[in-house]
Amino acid sequence: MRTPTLGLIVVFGLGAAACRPDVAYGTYECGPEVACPEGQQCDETSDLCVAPPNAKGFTCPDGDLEPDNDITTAQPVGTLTCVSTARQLKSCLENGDGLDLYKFAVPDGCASSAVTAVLASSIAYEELKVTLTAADGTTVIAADTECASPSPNDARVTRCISAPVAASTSYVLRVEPTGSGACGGACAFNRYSLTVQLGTH
Amino acid sequence: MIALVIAPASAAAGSGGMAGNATPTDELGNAKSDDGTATVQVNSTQIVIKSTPDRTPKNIAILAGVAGAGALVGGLGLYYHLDARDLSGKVSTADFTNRPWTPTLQAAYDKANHEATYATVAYSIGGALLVGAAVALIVTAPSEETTIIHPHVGAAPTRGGAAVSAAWSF
Repeated sequence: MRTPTLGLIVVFGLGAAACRPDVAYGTYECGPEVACPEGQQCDETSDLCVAPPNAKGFTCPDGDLEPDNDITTAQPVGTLTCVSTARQLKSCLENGDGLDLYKFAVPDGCASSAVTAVLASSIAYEELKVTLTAADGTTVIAADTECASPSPNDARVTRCISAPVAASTSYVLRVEPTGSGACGGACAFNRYSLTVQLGTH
Repeated sequence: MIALVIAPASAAAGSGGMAGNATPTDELGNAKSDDGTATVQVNSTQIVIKSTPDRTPKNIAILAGVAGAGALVGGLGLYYHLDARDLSGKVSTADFTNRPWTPTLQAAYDKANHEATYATVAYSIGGALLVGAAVALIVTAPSEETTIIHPHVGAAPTRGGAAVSAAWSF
C-alpha cells in the first residue's frame, strides 16, 4: 500500500513541477526597462529576450547623425510638397545624447497645411517624445500625444503630432528622452523612426 | 460487536433440524458470525471461537480524520496545480510570440511558479497524511482473539432411563 501511495506523491510532485512556466529563448521581445523572463536577458541589438551569453549591447544600426543638437546642425527631413508622401527617418538616441533635431520647410503656396509626425520607438528602453517647434528650435508649437491608432506591435510605442503649419515657414521637430523607463540610466537610449508628412487639415 | 452462531459444522452445513436456517459457514464448513468477524470450529473435544473485535470509534475517527485531512490538502494541491497550469499556459511558449515581456506576463509567471510550489508542498503533505493513515490502518488493526470452550458430557443411569448432561468451560 505504501509503494503506490509514494508513487502517487512522486507523480503529483512531478506533475506540479511540470506546471511551471517554460519560456524558450528568443520567443519574447524585451519589455519595459529591458524586462525579460527569469534566466533570460535583453539582447539590446535585436530587442529579443535571449540566453544571457548571447545578449549584446545597444547599437544604432541606422546610424546616429551627430551632431544634430542645435538648430544649425539639425538634420533636414527633406523636401516636402504641400501634400507629401510620408518620409521616414531612422535614428537613435544613444546614452548621453539628449536631443535630435530635424528641420523641414512648408513650401510656398500651401493652403491649410498640417504636419503629421509619428515617433515610433521600443518600449524596452528610455521613453522618447517628439515636439514641434518654430524654426528657433525652442518655441513649442505642439507636443506629442498618444496616437489615435496605436502601434500594432506591442513592443513599439508611438507618439503623434498633428498640427497646422503655415506656408513658406520652417519648423523643427525635437526628439528627446522623457527621462522615464531608463533603468536608472542603464538603458538611457533608444532606437526610433520618425515619420513626417504634410497634408491639409 | 460480535454476533456468534455456535453450532457444529455439520449442523451449520444444513443437515437435520438446521436445514433452512441461513447460518453462514466458511470454506471449511466452520460456522461464521453474520458479520464475518468470528468463526466457530467444533470438534470432539473443544469448541474454538476465533473473533476479530471492531475498531474503537476513536480509532476510526482518528484514521478518518487523518485520511480526510490528507485528501483535503491533496485537493488543495490539485487546485494550485490546475491554476499553475493555466497561468503557465499563458506565458509558456516555444515559438516567437511577437509580444514584449510585460509586467502582466511577469506577474503571471511569478504566480504560476508560486502556485506550482504550493501544489508540490500540498501534494507532499497530503500524500504524507494519506500514507500515515494507511500505515496506521495496518498498525492499529485489532488482532484476532481465540476462545476455546471445553465441553464436558456426562451420562448416568436413572430409574427407567438415563440422564445426559453437558457443560462447557472456557
